[in-house]
Amino acid sequence: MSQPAPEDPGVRNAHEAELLTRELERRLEWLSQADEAEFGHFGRLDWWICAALFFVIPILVVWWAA
Amino acid sequence: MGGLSARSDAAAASTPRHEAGAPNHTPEEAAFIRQESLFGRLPLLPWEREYGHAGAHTMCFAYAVATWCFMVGGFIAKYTGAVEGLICVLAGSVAGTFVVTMAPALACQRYGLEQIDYCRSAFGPHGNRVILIFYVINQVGWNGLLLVMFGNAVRNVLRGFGYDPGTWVVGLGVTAGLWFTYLLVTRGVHLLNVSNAYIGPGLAILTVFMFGMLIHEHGWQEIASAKPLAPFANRWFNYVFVFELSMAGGIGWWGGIGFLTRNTKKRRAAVYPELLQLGFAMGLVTCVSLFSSLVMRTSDPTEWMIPIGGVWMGVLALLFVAMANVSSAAVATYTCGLALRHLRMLRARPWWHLVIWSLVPCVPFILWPGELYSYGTSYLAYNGTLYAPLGGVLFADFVFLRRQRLNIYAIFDDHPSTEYYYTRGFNWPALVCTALGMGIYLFLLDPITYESHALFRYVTASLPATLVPGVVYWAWMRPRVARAAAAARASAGEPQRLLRPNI
Repeated sequence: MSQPAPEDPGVRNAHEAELLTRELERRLEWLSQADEAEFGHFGRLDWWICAALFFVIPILVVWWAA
Repeated sequence: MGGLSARSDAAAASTPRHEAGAPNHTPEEAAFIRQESLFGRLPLLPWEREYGHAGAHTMCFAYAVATWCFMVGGFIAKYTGAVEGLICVLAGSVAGTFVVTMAPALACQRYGLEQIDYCRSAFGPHGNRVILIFYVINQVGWNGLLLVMFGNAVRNVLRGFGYDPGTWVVGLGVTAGLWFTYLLVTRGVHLLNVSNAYIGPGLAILTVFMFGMLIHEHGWQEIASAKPLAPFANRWFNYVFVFELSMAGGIGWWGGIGFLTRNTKKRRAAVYPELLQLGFAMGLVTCVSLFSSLVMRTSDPTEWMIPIGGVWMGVLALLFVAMANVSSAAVATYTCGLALRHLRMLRARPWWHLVIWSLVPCVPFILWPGELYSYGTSYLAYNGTLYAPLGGVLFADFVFLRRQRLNIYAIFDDHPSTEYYYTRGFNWPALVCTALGMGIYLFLLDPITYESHALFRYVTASLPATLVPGVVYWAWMRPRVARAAAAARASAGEPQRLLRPNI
């Protein structure tokens, strides 16, 4: 395969492609193995609050007020 | 992207090396990686993300509040009065937002994923492209409508000063809006965040001020007793129809969820601001428009603020419209640009190319603003047609089938052996269930003619179009996902590599 012109902004050269792939794999490994606490907590109580306040109760209010 | 030969990004140069890339990267390599994370599909690591709780609330509010609120409020005023409208708008807006927020917010936040990348777990790499097409149409459509409203506002203010230049000034306003949007988006997420830190509170103050003016001029009694403008004959149908339109408005947020939450640091910052701002706050601002439409017979703030407070009040409203619309159009354009990275021909293009490609489809709105704007209500219903079943399928997939865990390697790998490749790149259960949901929606409500099945008055169209596909998809995919989970457990501990990276 011929090499693209070095100044062509639309095509990555081999070095960029390899660098990007290595960086992607590094991030995927980190994200796969990261401690869940790093991303904050969203537990069962949060789910109950969201489902009740933002789905169930609004629909019930609409039916009740009709 | 500009390549490694481009000058180092100043932001990357000031970023600690371990945050921009691996420790042995050169400054040019680190700058390249930084550009790929800001304007590409690299999953964002926690220290690269912009928004804590306050920032997420501000960003979501600035995104939510635009003159689409006034457009929706104006539509709703045709069918219902203030009190019923208030209930249906707030309830529908938060319920619709809930349906499309939970799964993508948590998935995109946890894994730093762009929205279309996240959908790969349910639809497969080629099935994703089907979603991409509808996604881009959605973002372009909203951008166009927003900028036409901005153009209309410019014209109204000029009329207030005694000039009536004609409809061409609306097209000029659209052009100016496109230019401002381009300038904002090409400078990156951080500038969006900084601008929204001012725009968000500014919009909140202006909204409260406009509501105060309305109450002061007309009083709540007059607003509450005002009749709808052009209701259908059946009162119950009007009521449910308004609830449906409001839910469709909430469901229409689907396109922007991933972009916002990918950039949040904590899970609660990814969920609560979305629900409260995109759902509840948007509903409140929509109600301001509903009230103004009922008593002033117009939803456009640049029209009704001028008779109350004079031309300079209209200028203030125009400023509001400009800030609100350009900030929202910028977010929509940013998400569209990121999504276009999934196309091979645009994968490595400089960011400004992607922005141009995202904005060029809005050019028809310069030439035919009025004609395209007249399709606004139908376009709103179109959002519900597609995104309701999409929300149901993705909810079932991420929350119930995968228990909020994704195989992130499979998302970035196009090798046929990977978990999310499915059947030649298509996950047919997801596509069939989405089509089923669209069929259910159209069976219950025609978004063009508003003809409806009798059932619509009891179940709406969006709710069954969300729930039925979700349940069918869950039942259909359960054995397959269970097998994949067993295979994953069997191979746990083995090092993973990308066989055919798709970035």
